Amino acid sequence: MATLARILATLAFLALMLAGLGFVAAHLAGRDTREQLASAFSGTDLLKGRFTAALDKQVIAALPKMSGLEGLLSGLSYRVLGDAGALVRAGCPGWLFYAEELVETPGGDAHFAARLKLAAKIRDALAAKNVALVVLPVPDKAMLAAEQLCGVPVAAQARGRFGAWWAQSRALGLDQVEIAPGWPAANGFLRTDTHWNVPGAKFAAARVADAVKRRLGPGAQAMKLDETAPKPRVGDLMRLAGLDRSWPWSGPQPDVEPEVSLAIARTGGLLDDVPAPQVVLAGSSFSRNSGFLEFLQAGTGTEVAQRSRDGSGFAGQLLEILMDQPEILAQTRLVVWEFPMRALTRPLSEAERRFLGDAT
Amino acid sequence: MVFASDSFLFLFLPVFLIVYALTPGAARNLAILAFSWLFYAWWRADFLPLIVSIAIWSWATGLWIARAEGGGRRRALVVGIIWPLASLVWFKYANMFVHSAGALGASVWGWQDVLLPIGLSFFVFGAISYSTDVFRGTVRAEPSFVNYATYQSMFGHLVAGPVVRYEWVAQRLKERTFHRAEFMFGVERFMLGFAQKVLIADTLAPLVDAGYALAAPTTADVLLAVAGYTLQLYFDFSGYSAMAIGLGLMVGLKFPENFDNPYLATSLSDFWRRWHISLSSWLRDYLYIPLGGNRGSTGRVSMNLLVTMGLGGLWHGASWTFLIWGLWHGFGLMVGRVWKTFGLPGTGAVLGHVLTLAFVMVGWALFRAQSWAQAGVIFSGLAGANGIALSPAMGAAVRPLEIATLVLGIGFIYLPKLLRIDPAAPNPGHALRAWTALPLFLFAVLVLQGRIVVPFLYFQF
Repeated sequence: MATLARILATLAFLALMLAGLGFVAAHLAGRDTREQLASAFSGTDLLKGRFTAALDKQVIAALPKMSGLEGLLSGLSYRVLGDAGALVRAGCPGWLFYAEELVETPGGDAHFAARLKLAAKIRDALAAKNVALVVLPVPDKAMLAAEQLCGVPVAAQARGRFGAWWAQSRALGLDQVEIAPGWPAANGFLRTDTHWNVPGAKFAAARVADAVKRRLGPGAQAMKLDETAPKPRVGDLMRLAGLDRSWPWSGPQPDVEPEVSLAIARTGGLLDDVPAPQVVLAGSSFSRNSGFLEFLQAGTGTEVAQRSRDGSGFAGQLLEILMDQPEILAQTRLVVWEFPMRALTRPLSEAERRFLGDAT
Repeated sequence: MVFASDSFLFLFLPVFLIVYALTPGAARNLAILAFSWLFYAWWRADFLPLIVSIAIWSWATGLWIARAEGGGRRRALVVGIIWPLASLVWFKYANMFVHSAGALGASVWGWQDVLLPIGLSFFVFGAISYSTDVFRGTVRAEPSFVNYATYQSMFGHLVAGPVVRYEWVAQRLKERTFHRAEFMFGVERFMLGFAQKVLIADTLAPLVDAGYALAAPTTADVLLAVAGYTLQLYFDFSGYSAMAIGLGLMVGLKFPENFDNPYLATSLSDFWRRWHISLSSWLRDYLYIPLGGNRGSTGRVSMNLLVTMGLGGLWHGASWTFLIWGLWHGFGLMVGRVWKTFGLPGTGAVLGHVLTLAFVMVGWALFRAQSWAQAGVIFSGLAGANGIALSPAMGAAVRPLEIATLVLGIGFIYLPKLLRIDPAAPNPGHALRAWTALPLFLFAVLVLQGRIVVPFLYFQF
């Protein structure tokens, strides 16, 4: 019996290798692949292993993606072990959390201290341009929806991030919006996503709108807010955990959310020219999700220019504007700077180090 | 290139096997050699001349040693060893000595760190054993450079061992025929090695990294991380060794086993008879015995043990922590020997096993530390300086899959005991291995593909 097993295993092994080789050969014969490899083909590249590194990438690209099977593995791992991959943790049934909100980041305290300095420099840079600043630090989902963690541990550093920011940033004199008091707990977040849901976005936007109106006064633009019927929404944490591809039984059910839209009635001048918005929203993916921008505009009665970017982190998008696109701020009276508090302890980005004047 | 990669599985290995199968018998060593050098150059071609030069040097001086007589024979041996050894000292230890001198206030002006060529330690030990064996007359000098270089460079053991000796493969390098059963057994060994590397060792890596990254680990954090590392190291290295043995068998070369259930050892000397056997036997035959071995007074034997294990520790890496790790084991072996010499009562199998495992794990805790500072953090954590219970930081970092893998790994360690498999039997556990090899391999290939996808998803955030 062992011999039969060995014969079958050997045949399957050889078949798998030859099939893989067939895919690789077909891919390498392609014109684009040959051109890409040719660009890495030089004496130095060969000597330093850069050509073979480029070849490795092409081999990986050549192989068919087995997303169905990978999804099955992810789903089984989630169902059997409660494991949601390296970047996600599974909380109460159906609830997912971004691991970054829970773990300890080496050197996190130093990164946090550097970001306090960064915030002071941003405050000064905007003040020098006579632009008002409203800051919205978004607490971690793991903190605001803590009752859905179901025992998933949270590192002391992650747990202390919120309190440390509020304790130490007050001295900076920033106009900050605090959304934790009165937050609708787990009802303010999507189960399968790191972001807030529509009620959460609405709540946060209302708090920010109050701060904006205190600085600029209420706007008078006519707007019409609209929400579609709720429909399934696969969260980013589901995708990150590989659970979006799995069979319905094997992962959490997607959230069900409406989509929010806003129609602004603009009245142009003689040549139909519309003045640029005086408020700029420069934040992260939170500002781009669940209708936050729309609720903010509706709440202020003012058109807000969306300059937020997914993956902006602490101040990625704002620094890009300040350092590379300062003309955006020429007619701006106020900037809303939103950032996720989990970004406070992350290692500094190249742009952040550059803005701090740290060349290393 | 590593075995557990798409390039190896779906490009290098199939092309090699096709070329090898189509090559006439007489030229098959040349095919192995050409592919082995290509395998090495895949990493960086600029270090290939170093490897080739050592092979040429050892082969030529081997012929010289064989022909020399009297005192000339010893001189030839010294010359034969000096270039491989000098290469090892320069590439592996120059940075350590310069940095240590700098720490003592004697910095070397304008020093640029030297890059260590992969696999050099294994390559050099192979060369030294060959020269010494020719000198001792235990093997004949190999007249064919292709045969010798094939032994030295065979890609199966080139970068991660085992430390293959010429005498083990000499006969088959000259003459071998294709054995279907041997090829199939080689495939099975390769598949199982691949699976244990990808499914267990690589899965445990993040758990270990997390434990060693903590600024203030508790006792439980350290125990978890060190337990993870104990398994990671074993399944990684024995997996690689199994793949090397399997690849050797596919082309008709037999390499001896490198691991024999080391974590079932009941004493430290038993552990070293089972762990990285090719290295420990190399150290015994080419260092410990020439130093005097077990001959002489208790003090002399103890010194031989400490020197051998200290140098063996340093062989693992250019860091003083490796030296101390080696001395730790040398000290343990010395105590065991003295204990026996004085006829003190034995510990019994179970207690001996527990004590040995604890001793080995303390050693691994140091072995994994990347600096004295990190070693200090780990040992103070182990001593309970930051508390005893599992910290939330470690709890948050560890995935359920990693814990399950840890439990599975421990299960595999004790499986031979549980199934009462006799290691001395001709084919221990063969039926089980034969039927599980393919599913585990396919599962591992699938997991390997998935691991490549994850970082890409992260950047979509």
